[in-house]
Amino acid sequence: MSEGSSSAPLLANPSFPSRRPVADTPFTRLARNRLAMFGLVVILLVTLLALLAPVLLITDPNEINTAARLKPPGTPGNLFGTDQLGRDILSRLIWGARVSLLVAVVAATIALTIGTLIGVIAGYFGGLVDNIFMRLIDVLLAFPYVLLAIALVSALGPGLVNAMIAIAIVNISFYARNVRSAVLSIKSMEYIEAARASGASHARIIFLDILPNIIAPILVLVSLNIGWMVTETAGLSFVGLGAQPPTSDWGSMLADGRRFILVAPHAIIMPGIAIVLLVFAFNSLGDGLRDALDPRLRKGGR
Amino acid sequence: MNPLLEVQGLIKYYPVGSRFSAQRRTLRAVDGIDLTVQPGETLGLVGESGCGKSTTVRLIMRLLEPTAGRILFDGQDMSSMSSAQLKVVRRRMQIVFQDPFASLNPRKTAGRIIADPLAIHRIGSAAERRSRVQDLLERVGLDRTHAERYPHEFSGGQRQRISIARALACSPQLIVADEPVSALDVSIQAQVLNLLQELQRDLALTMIFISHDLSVVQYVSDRIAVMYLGKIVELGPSQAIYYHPQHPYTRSLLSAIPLPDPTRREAIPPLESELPSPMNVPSGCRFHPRCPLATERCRHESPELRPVGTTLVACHNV
Repeated sequence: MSEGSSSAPLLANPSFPSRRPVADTPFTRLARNRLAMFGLVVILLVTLLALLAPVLLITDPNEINTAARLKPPGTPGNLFGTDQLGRDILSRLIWGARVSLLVAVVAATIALTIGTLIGVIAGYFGGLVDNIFMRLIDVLLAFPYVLLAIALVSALGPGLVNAMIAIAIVNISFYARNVRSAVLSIKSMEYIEAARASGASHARIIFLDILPNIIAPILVLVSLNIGWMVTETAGLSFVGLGAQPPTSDWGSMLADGRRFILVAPHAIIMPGIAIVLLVFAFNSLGDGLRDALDPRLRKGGR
Repeated sequence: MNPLLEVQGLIKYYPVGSRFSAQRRTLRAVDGIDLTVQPGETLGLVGESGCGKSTTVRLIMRLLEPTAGRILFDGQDMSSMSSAQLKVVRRRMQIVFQDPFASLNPRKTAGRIIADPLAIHRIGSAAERRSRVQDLLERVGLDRTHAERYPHEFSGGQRQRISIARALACSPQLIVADEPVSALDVSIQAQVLNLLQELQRDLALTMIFISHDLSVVQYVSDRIAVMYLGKIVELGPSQAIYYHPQHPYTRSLLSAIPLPDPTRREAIPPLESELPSPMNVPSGCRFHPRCPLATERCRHESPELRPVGTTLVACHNV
């Protein structure tokens, strides 16, 4: 909103070399953020590999070769080595990325949809509705979330779909609370009052006036949240409640490799690096998005 | 002629503090207001910040629910209307807000913003709405190509023009302007004021014009109501209020306007003290702690509006 009018006469002075104005849009701000760009590249790369897994010329991730057990990385034909059953770790990592990304994206979509719905309704209508929804969310938050996820999967039975549902439920509160606060900040704007004065319905105001103005913060929430979800998926699989064997999954690979940590550390290091890298990529992209979309937050944070 | 708008005993109280707290207090934003607005006239509403002007118009627009009182629009009681009936009435009354930076949705183009009321009330086809938007843009002194631009591409004055165009979209009878110029530069203020006056004359609009600046209100209004702490203290023809104010509060408001005339001295100096909190309204006449004419009676007895000359004044001592 600042017009920068005080410097205008200075720039108009011909004796000053005019400087080409540097474009400052959310997109250019994101593009200048190296860490965020690194995250984006990693995410795109992992997604591409995961999508192409069936057509890539890699060994079958479930092909057991007891003769070549726990081969170290660099072995010809097994770039990242093999696990305790002689399965190729690189191939299992690529197929495991499908599981991690699928669970994270689907769970995030479910949590985002339900959480946004709750957050918008609670924030927009306020009062009693707000109180009821937020106290329910408080109940969800009162549980340590990993414990809650484990409890839910134990109740539903182990498996990928149930892990996905559990992770989605655990994360609803995150979206609901953040969306609610974003709605509260928009709700008091005069253009919402103007819409009401024109006779707009609540649905119209929510979909045309409120949601378009909170998309930026929601985008940041999603990219930060997917990182956590990758960890949570791996965590549930690690304790045996997520993907069931022989499906290759980063969490279960960690769990399997744990027993051979002294003889074949690569069996646990490789999936460990994969998890760390992907989570780090999502988090740095999320941070970058937040800085790009809301420069004010950045000034406060650093 | 029947009044277009009639406000009777309008009250808005806000409870302050927790529902379970013993110190629950009441904020009296609007404390018993009666007003009538005739078709075609402009009623000015003045008062300091925090005197309840904006609350009053939001109650009139039914953006807020009144605690008590009735609002009759064209003879119909708005407070008992269903939401469907309310929607019909809302075509006929529109509001222009104070802050041109907050009153336009940043994600919509100017054209969308102006066409929105038409879309809500399902007026015309898409093509008809488009041409109506272009007419409105030109009517308020903008260019028809501006329809494609977003609010951040406009200056404050231009945004206020878009806001006015939106208010005019459904051809309302009543326009409520809530401090439409106080966020603008002085040079732009005059342009927007002239635009409002022109529109009012050409479209036979009825207008309620709010400002904290008496000289601005005087410029556009036929009648002026002066508000103090949620009540009207003086009400009368614009000229009478501006040139012959009766109530000591109006007189001090007027003396606060700087005039380029060193020989003119005001009998009542501008107010220096702060407006008392509407959570703790003074007893008797609510102006008495700041009033140079206050007597013992003012401390105990709240004055009612009574005719003095051509105006109505709520004061024991005039």
